[in-house]
Amino acid sequence: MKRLETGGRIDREAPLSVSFDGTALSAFQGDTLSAAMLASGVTVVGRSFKYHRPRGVYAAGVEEPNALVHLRDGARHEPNVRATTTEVFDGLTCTSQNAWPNLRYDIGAVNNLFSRFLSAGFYYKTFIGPFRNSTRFWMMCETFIRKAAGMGRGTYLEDPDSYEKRHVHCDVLVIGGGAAGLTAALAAGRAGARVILVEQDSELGGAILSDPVGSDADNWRISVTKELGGMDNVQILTRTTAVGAYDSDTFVLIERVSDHLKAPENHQPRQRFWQVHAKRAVLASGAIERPLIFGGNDKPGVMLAHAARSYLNRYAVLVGDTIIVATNNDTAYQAAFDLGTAGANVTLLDARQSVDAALLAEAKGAGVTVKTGHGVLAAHGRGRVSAVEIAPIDAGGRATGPISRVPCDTLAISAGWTPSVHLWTQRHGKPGFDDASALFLAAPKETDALQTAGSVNAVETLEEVITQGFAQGAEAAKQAGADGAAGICPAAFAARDWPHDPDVIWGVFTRDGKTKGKAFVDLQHDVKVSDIDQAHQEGYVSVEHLKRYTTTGMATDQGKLSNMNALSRMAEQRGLRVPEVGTTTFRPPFIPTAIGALVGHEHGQHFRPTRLSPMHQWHVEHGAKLTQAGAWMRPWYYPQSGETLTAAYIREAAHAREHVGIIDVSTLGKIAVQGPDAAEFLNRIYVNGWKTLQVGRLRYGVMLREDGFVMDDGATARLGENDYFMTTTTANAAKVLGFAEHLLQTAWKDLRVHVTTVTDQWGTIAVAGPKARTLLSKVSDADLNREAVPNNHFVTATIADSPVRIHRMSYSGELAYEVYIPAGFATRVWERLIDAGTEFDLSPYGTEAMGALRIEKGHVAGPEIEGRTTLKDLGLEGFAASKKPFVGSVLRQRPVLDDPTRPTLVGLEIEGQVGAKAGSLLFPLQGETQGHGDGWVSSTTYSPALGKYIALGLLNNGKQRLGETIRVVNFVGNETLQAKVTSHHFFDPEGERQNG
Amino acid sequence: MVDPVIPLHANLVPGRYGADGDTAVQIGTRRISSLWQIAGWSDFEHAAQPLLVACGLAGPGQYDETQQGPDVTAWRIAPDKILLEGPPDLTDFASDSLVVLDLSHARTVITLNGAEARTLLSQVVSVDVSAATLPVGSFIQTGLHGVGVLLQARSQNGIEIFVPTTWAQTILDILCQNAMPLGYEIMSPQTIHAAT
Repeated sequence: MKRLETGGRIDREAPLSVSFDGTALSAFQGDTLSAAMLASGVTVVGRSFKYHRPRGVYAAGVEEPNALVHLRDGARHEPNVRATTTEVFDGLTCTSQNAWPNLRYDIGAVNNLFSRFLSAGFYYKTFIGPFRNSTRFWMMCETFIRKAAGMGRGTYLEDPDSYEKRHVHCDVLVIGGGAAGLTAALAAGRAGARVILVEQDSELGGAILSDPVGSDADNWRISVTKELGGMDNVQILTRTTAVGAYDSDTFVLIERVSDHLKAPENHQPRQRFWQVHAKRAVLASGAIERPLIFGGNDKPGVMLAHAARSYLNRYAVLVGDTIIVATNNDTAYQAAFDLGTAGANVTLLDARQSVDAALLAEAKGAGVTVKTGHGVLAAHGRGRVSAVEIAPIDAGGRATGPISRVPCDTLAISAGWTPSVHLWTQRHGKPGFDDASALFLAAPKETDALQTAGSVNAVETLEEVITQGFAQGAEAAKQAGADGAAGICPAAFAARDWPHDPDVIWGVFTRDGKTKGKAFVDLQHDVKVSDIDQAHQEGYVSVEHLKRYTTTGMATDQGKLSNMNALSRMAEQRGLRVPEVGTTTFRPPFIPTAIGALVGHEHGQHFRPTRLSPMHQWHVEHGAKLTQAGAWMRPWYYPQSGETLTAAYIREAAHAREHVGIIDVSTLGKIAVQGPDAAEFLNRIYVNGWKTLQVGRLRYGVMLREDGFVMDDGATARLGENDYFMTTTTANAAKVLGFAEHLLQTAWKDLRVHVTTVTDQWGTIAVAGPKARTLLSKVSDADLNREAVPNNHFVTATIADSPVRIHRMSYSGELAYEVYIPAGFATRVWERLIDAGTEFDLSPYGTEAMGALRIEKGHVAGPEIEGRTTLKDLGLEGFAASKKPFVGSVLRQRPVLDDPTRPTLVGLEIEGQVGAKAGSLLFPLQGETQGHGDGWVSSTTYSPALGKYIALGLLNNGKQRLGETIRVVNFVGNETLQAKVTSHHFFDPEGERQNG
Repeated sequence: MVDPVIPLHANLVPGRYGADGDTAVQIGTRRISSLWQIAGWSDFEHAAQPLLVACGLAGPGQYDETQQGPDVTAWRIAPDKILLEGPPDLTDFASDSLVVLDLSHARTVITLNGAEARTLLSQVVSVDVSAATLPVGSFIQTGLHGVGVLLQARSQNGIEIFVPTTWAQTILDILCQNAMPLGYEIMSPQTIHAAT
């Protein structure tokens, strides 16, 4: 292997510092990592998945099964990176993987000695029995097996890079920047369509990039690319792979924005996820060269013929001095000719018995020796192929004559080409089988928005590739509505044809049909021909089962290299034709894709959107500790000089009972219910009646689901004749609004009612405590005395020059008001209350103290309204009207919901100085603590008013058990407490304080 | 009455952020003078006509086209709903056939201006926001980072995003994060006021 002095598309003026396993490589700008490895004489680049066999570079593109490496260090470390698609950059470091202690002496290679015990499905058969308690033994083994499994090792460090998503809509998406894709984009672009052209390579050209620089092909590429580059309506995305095709003609592209750099620069993302919505798409994804199967076909030095040509013409790397080219088709001849011209001693073995005379003459002219009717039976060599066994073979690939050993340092192979129909099959299902070419091909209908062009259709000549691409591009543009003229198709350049031969061999075997040594159909997963045979012997007939049993074609390969040969072997074993065996399903993504690219910015802080109260900034500036409440960030507590949560909430709750406190309750769901039938709507959705509610008043309501369980509760105010202002719990705001919309648009279309969320319109402050009225009277112009504004009434007023509405209602059990303020004025009103509250010893309190106050009062909240509780369970049955239907009114009457032994809401006074944990189970004082117990703790707190820990719980037959002492068992924390069952109205059960 | 606080003012720190080079996007906000929703039922268009005439509008308008009156901008956001920016108190127009709702504080406007304003938008919404599909004078309702928003194209390179107020900060954050590769500028409050 050597780097040539001339040729290639590399920049010899730009040498780069690149290392593999600590050894410097010869690398230039324009190289791939695999090219640099080959140029530097690196023959073994990795160890195989299962048997840890030494492996070398096999391909030059995304299909590479062997050259997988650890790339970069630290937080940017990435495992399983294909060296063949990694552009080198200055400072690139990479290391081998799946080898210990090093690539050369890998202890895992011992697996190769036990390969007969590690055949297909060995783990299904091995990890059972044969002794008693074998399961425990195998579970212990699993620890070690898991450590040995897989290839590269990931990093646990946080990814320092960003990933971006972008949504684009275009008329025509062209996938593939080879000859067919270029002409498709050209035609569509000329017609005036909005075109996106996607190419996974760093340059446009596809297979043309493997032609010599300055060749007719290269000049053609430059000409077409230049014209495309001048079109404003054509967006060219290189380093971008179409990885998925989905319903509604949506495609996913992954653009490797910065992967060719040491690190992203100038705030650019590492990768960009494109979601493309295309009216039409042209798949010009080409074809992947197919391996030939024989013994030792995985030795380093064995590679695909077209890859050898790519390394020569694109990277100026001659992969060997003595090269055997083994093929069954015409296309490999060009590789042989180019390698011979570059100075290699090339012998070509053609499995076919006869070859076109003109081709043979051309070979002779290029100095290439051709042996027809011959094949490679086995490759030999340690660390690198050093010789091959060749033999005359028959039309079935079996040796028919004497075997001879021929020395060589490289074996370039080609068993034909496999069209890359992956994206088409992702979108439309299994491909069809074309008898003429013996290939699985896409089978688009004329009306499909996704059409195919070029080698993916297995067309035989370059002229067809180009004209088909052009025609599909023009048609796609027309179908997408572009009415311009596509003009004349660029003329084709000279290129080798791909004449089809449906009877070509796929492997070379001994006289008795066996391979000579290990012969791999899937190099990535170490699946041998003998594994396919074994699966057949064990009764596997479904190709999908075969795939999973042997693992052939799974994971990142997705059938790129392995599929056809595995199917061919299975077909032979079953005595069927390949199409009768069928093919497996190709799934997205087409290439391995970083999870970061799928996630984009939606992680960490932006994993989901965050909702903030209009007073949020004040809370932050005043040291509030925040907590998540659904999407909201809410003040949890306001610590004073290092206070703990517990100390702070106890202080805040006690303070509100003694003086006055304010809390930001803007998170309450708020819904405007408007229309002449608004009262009837409320009457139907709530269990209680609404038709008598007068303007200026508000009422507590409970609503059920249709199955009779409680869904939500809240207060609704009547603002005007046709205007109501409904509040919901914070958690259920969206659910209630959606439920109401659903009913109005389906079951209740007779009602002239609109519901609109006004949660964002109003900031809300709850003012609670004995001095609440005094404080609000000071800051507002409203008359708030008891007679003017009794409980469940509201008034409009002005505070700090801001219009507000003051509702008299209490969630804490104290004399309390809710002040509704247009959001833009909310902070101003809050600050006014804080300022004016100084003389009343006002203190803000957070959600933890709010919880303590409501538990003391015995109000239900989310932990009690959790979807399994009924009105009766919660002691709310008295609210349900008996003379009107409402949502849930029928199904709530089911006997099972009326069972008196159901868990019902009770209070629990905890004995001792430790509080109960929510979720703890309730058991009688005597007996076993097994099963689900008699109920559970729903909410828990320390009660400053009572001076003890209290809780709310749902207890079987609870109302009959007041006064009983029970056990509160926290199985998770291994803790058992005792509690006295009480009424859930711990504090001021008569309501004297809130009605005061 | 005092001026309301623009929700994002506290967190819009003027300056140049992200990638070097030409400033691709300017991000800012502007004040909403008033915002009302009117809604009705099967006779909506008839019921709304007097109000629309009073606002200087020709009719209910199209579902994707912003209507511009002398002082009022209108968006028909549903067959029986129109959103109006700029009108005076509409309470007097309420009837059994028409309901009106003050949403002046319920939305915050985030403005995007610059050559890459639509590119930035394409990173956060899945609908087509190209000039061909969202031309100047048009609007669309869609989801942005999981939040329902209304987008209107004020100019070739100028987009306004109407965001529910309590979600405005999270939308601003995600926009800024997405704008880093483009390079963006947060407009100063003075500039914002001048623009309103």
